[in-house]
Amino acid sequence: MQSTPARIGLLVVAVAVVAFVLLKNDSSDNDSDTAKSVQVLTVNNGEPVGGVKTLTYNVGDQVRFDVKLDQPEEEIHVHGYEIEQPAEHGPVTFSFPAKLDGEFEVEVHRLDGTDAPIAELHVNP
Amino acid sequence: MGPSKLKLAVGLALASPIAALLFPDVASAHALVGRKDLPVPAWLFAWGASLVLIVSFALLSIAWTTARLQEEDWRAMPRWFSRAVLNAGAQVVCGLIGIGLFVLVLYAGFRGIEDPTQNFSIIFVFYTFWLGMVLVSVLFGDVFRAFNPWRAIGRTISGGFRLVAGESAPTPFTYPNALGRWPAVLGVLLFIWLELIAGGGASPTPHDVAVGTLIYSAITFVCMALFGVEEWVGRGEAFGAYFGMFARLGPFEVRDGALGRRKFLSGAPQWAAIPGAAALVLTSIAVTSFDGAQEGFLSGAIRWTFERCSDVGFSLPDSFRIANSVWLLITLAAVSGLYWLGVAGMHTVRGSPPVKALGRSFAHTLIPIALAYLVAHYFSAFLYQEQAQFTYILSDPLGHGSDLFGTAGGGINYGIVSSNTVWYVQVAALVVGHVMALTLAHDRALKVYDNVRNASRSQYFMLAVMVAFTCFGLFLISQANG
Repeated sequence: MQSTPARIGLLVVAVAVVAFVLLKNDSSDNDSDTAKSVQVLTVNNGEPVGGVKTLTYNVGDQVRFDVKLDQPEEEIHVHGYEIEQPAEHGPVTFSFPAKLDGEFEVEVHRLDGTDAPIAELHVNP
Repeated sequence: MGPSKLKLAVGLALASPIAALLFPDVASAHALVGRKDLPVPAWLFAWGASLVLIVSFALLSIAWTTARLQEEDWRAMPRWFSRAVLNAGAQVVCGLIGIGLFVLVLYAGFRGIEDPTQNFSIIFVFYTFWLGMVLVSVLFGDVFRAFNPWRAIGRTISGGFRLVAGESAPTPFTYPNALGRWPAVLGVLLFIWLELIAGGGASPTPHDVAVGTLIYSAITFVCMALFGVEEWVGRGEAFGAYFGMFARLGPFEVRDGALGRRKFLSGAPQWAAIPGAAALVLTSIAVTSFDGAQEGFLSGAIRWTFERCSDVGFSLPDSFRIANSVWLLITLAAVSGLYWLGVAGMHTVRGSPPVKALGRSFAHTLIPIALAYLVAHYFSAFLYQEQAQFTYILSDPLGHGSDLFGTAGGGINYGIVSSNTVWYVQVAALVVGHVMALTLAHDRALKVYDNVRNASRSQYFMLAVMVAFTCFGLFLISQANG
């Protein structure tokens, strides 16, 4: 085992770990809310108010969120879990157990056949 | 889903200038997948990175001093077996299957449902074919050659010509050596451009895929006419060159009509000696990196470029295309730059060949890294989409409600792998790819340099390149997908 490459190696590990920790802290200050309370998503004119929110849960939690709408839409669709709720008559309530980990898009399917993401469901293992 | 992002983009941009700042992510051609991978957690990243370095130095310390993989020990397998696999009947059947799938891609593209998740042409071309064929190539050799629809059609036509004219069709040009694998580099870039960028913020439509297939076919047939069918398939044809590259890692190869076996990895060194070889493998690494980074750490830069383009007056889809194309090329330049920097470093060692030749002669050492990147980025998506391929897409390829095999009611079980499994597979792929790459590089150095001391010295530079690629790969999978 030569010592020069070993030293370079340790240096690279150190740099990589430090860089990662810094980046990790940097990116974790998003709008994820681990709250177990009921989240409210507001959709006006087919668009999420305040942008696409991240809803964070752990496996085993109960995912609970309401979607408020200012106009009728076709349905709200949770990808991966494949839960769809008709949204032609006002607000929609979701409540289901977070059985599957991963990242899932929550989408509004509009009456005109288009769709848009309104939230990102983030389920930690 | 794909088109939704574009609609969202349109909506937000019209809503207010401030909305542009909230613009979630312009790049999301991979929204085809209902479940996205969670970022690899910090502790696993740290373990992965440490493991990479530990195995690197372990390898250096046990390093062998005479090249072991440079002479390919290809040995023919029993003749009956060769004949069973490679007989004329089997070749015709494989060719017909290839042509059949090719026609189905076109038909489903033009006539099938527009929804990309329900159409055979999208799922087949971007998952089953583009990703699945890499896996098949590594395990079983250059299988694509047998199924290559362009080759099958080309051979049929030239065979017909021979029947009528009594002699082979003359080719007007001999394939220029300097062209090497460069046409394939361009082909791979254009393919990825179609997959990730052409849709202008949405997934490409089945129609786009069919049109792209037709254009590519036209170019392929013209080039076959100019240079000869086998000549073009062996060198310039993008898919043949791309899958053939991965086939070099595995043990099986057909040579002079006989199937044979060789030592694992020993097929790779011969692959590198051709112009454009380094470019092809670097392109593969770069496009996978770009796909991983576009929703992660490049998303901000892409968004910024996108906004500048739309400020200048480009339409939103065009701004998307320009921004992503620019960043794809920047990624390619960065990935290539890293490699050539390592080569330049290696060149400082006494007894090095010229930089260009040196770089080319180590090109094959990156194939395992390209493979590892593919596994790390697409492993889970591939598992999901193949479930679609073999259930509802199989029974209802056009999405018109048919149920040919009774599997149309099936769907994707996203619970097939846990996030933990995905993470371990991703990290393991990168670490194993890294070890394979170092093995190939060290072995090559022993051949390039006339003494072990210089060979070892040159490998400090390659080691740095490999560590950088592998850690960058780890970094990409540790980033949130936006």
